[in-house]
Amino acid sequence: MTSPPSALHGITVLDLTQGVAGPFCTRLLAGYGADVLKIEMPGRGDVSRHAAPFYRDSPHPESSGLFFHLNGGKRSITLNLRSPTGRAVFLHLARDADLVVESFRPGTMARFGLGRAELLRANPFLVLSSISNFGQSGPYRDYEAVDLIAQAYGGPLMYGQGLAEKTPLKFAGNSGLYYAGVMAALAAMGAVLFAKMGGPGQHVDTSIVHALMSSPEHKPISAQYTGAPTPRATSVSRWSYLMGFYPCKDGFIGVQGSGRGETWWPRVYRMMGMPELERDPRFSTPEARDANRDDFDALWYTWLADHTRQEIFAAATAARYPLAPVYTPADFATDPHFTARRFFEPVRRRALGTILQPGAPAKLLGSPWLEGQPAPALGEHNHQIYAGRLGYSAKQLAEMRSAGVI
Amino acid sequence: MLHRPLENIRVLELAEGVAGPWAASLLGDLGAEVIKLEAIQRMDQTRGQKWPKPGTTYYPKGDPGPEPWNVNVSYVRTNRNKLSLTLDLSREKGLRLFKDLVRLSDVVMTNMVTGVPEKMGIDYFSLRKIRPDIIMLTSCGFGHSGPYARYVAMAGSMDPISGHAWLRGYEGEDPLTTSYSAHTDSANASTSAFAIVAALHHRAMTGRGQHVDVSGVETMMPHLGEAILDYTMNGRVQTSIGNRHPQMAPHNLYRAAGNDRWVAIACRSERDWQNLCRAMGDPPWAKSPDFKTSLSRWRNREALDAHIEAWTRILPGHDIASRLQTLGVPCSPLVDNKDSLTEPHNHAVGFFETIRHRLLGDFDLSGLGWKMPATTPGIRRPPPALGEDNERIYTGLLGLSDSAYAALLQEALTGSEPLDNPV
Repeated sequence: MTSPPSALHGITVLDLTQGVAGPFCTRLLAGYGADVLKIEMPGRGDVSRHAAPFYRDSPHPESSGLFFHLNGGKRSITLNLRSPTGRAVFLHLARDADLVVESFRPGTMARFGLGRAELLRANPFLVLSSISNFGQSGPYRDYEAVDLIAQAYGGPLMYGQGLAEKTPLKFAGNSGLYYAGVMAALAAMGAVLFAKMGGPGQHVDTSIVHALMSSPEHKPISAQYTGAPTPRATSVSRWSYLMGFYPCKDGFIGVQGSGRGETWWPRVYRMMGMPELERDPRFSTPEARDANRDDFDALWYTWLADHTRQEIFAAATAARYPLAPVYTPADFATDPHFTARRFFEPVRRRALGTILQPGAPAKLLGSPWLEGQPAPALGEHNHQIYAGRLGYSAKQLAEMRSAGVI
Repeated sequence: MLHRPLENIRVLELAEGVAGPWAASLLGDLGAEVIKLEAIQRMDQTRGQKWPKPGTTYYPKGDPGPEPWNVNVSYVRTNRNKLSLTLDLSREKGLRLFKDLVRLSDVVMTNMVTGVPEKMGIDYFSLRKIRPDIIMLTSCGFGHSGPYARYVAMAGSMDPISGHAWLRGYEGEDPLTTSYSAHTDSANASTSAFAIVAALHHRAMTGRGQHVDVSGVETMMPHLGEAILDYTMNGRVQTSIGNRHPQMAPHNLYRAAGNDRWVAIACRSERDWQNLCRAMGDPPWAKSPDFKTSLSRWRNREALDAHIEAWTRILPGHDIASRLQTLGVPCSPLVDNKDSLTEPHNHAVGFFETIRHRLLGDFDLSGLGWKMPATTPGIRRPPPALGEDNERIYTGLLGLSDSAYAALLQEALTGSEPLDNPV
C-alpha cells in the first residue's frame, strides 16, 4: 500500500518573504507538503541568514539557527526582482503557482511591477498573500516594526504581562511574529482552497499587529464592560490564589488551578498528599481559604521546597491537577514525552552534521509531515529551477549571474 | 456560487474554554458552519455560573443581567460566527443524536483529554464508522500519544512546560515575577484551525478524512525556535531578557508622559540610532564613546536606556512614535485593550466590528487579522445564546418532528437555560 500524500501536496508556493512571520507561514506550508520555492535577493539573501544564534557561535550566512528553523523543506533560488529579466522570470513562475507570499513594505510589489493587478492578469487563480507590520492600508501602513513594536501595538502579549509595579513585559523572542505567521498561513490556505473550488484569485492582506489584536487574549470587550483597561497584577495580589509560578526544590512550577474553586482544591490537597485538608475547617470553603491563606501558604511552600519539579508534576498528574514544571529548552528537548512523540527531529546539514529541531506543531495522522527537511543554502536550487525547469542554457545563466539577476 | 472558502463545511465543536472554541470561530470566520455543542447540564465553563454574584468584571458594569451565561466576557470574546446547540451526551439518546449530527458533518473538534472521547465512544475510530471521511481534531495539553497523553492541562500549565515562562521574565530575574499567560490557547487555536484547513485540502484531494492530533504545548514550542536551536546547536540555555534584545540596543519599553504610559523603541541599525539621536535633538550624552558602536550601546544598555527614558517620560507616546516613525525608526506606544478601541489606525482599517446583541446592545468585537476581499468574511453572528439554534438544527438539519423536538425539551436533553450552577 502506498502511503497517503502530505496534506498540502500539489500546492505550489512562491515565497518572497524574509525575517520571521512570512518564513514561518511558508515553513508550515512546506512541512505539510506544499512545494515552496524561496526566492531571495542575490548576495545577502534572507535577513534571518544573518541573525543569531549561529552554529558554534560562528556567524555565517549558512549557519543561522533562526534561518534553519524557519526554512526547512523549502528550495532556494536567487532572483533580483528589480531587474526586468527578474520580473519576467517571476511572472513566468507565477503562472503555474497557487500562492505567492510576500512580506515587503506595502507598495513594494507594485513598484516591482508585480502588484495584485499584474499577478492576477498572469494567473487569475493566484492568491497573493501579503504579510506586513500594520497592514496594507491605514495611517500606520508604512510604520517600521520588530517583534517588540508589534507586541506593543498589537497588545495582548504585552500590556497585561508583567507586574503592575514594573514595566509591562513582552513575550520572549519573536513570539508575536510567529503567531502572526500561523494566522497568515491559515488565511492564505483559506484563499487557496477557495480558488481551487472555483473562486477567484485574490490579494490576502495579513497585518501582524491585527493578527495579535484578533487573539482572544486581547479583551476589548472587558474594556467596554468595565470602562478601564485590563490591569497588570501586582506581586502581592496576583490574579487569584494558586495561579502563576512557584519555587520548588530544583526550580519552578507553573499552575492554573483556580476558577471554579471547589473542583480544584480537593485535587490540590490530594496532590500534596494531604487529602484531610478538604475537611479541615480552615480550608474547606473559599471564604475559609481566604481567611487562612497564611496557614495554607506555610504548608504549600514547605511541600514545594521538599519536592522536585518532576515529583510535583507526577503528583499533580495523579491528582488530575493542571500543574507543570517550568521547562527550559534543555528540559523539553530531552523530555521522554516529546521524544516519544518524535516532536524534535534530527535534521542533517551536509557541512555541519545533525541538528535537533522542532517538528510538526500539529500531527495530521493521515497525511505525513515531511520530517527532517533541511533549510536550503542561498541559491542552492538555481540550477535545478533555471536550467532544469525553465530550460535556460549555461550561457544564459552566466549572463544572468554577471548582470546580478541571479 | 461560493462566497467563502469553507462555506460548504460543517464543523461540530465539542469543546470549551478558549483553544477549542476559538479554533472553531476561526473556521467560522472562513465561512464554515460551526455548531457549538454544550449541555444544559454542563455548559462551556467560560459562560460562568448560572447566577453569579454581581459586581465582577465579567459582566457589563458588573451586572450579570437576566441571562448571565450569555454575556460573560470570557464566553463573548471567544465564540463569534457559530451556532449554539445543547444536547446531553451522557444519555444514550443524546449520543444517538450526536452521531446523527456527525453523519452530516465534515469536521469534529474536541479538547477533551486523551481517553475521554474513547470512553464515550466518540473517538476518531468510532466516528469514522459513522462518517468514513470525517476529520477529527483532538486537542489537549500533551497530545494523543506519549507518556503524558492523558495528563490534564490548562493554558497556565502548558505555558511553563513550553519554555515561554522561562524566557519571558524580567532580565536577570527568575520566573516568579513573570505573570500567568493564556497565549498558549491562542497559539493552539490558530494552529488547530490551520491544521483543519490542511486536512480539508487533503480530503478534497484523496477523499479521506483523518485524525488531527494537537498538543497545546507543541503548538507553542516552535515559536521559540531560535532559543531551542541555540541549545541543540550550542548547548546554551538562554535566560530571560525582558523587553531587551540579544543584539539590538536600544530595544526596550520606556515610560512616556502620563500614568502607566509606555513607548517601545528599537534600533536595528546605525541609521536607526542616528535618526533616534536626531529626534532627541542630538543630546551631548549620545556622543559619548560608551554609545559609539552598536556593540558598545548594547554593553552599556542600562545607562543608554536611562538616558532615553529621561527623554521619553515627558512626551506622549503617540508623539514619540510619529516623530520616530517619520524617520523610519521602529516605535509604538503600548496600546492596551481600552486604547485599541480608539486607535485611529484601527478605525481606518476597520478592525473592530460593531455587533448588535440581544442583551448587550451594540458593542465592538475584535475583527480578523486578515482581509480577503474576494470573499465576504467578517463577523456574521455574535456569540450565540445557549441553545439559540436548537430548533433550527433539530427540526431543520436533523429533520425531527415538532413533537420529537418537544420531547427532547421535556426530557431536558436540550434547552436554552442551564439547569444548575455548573460544577
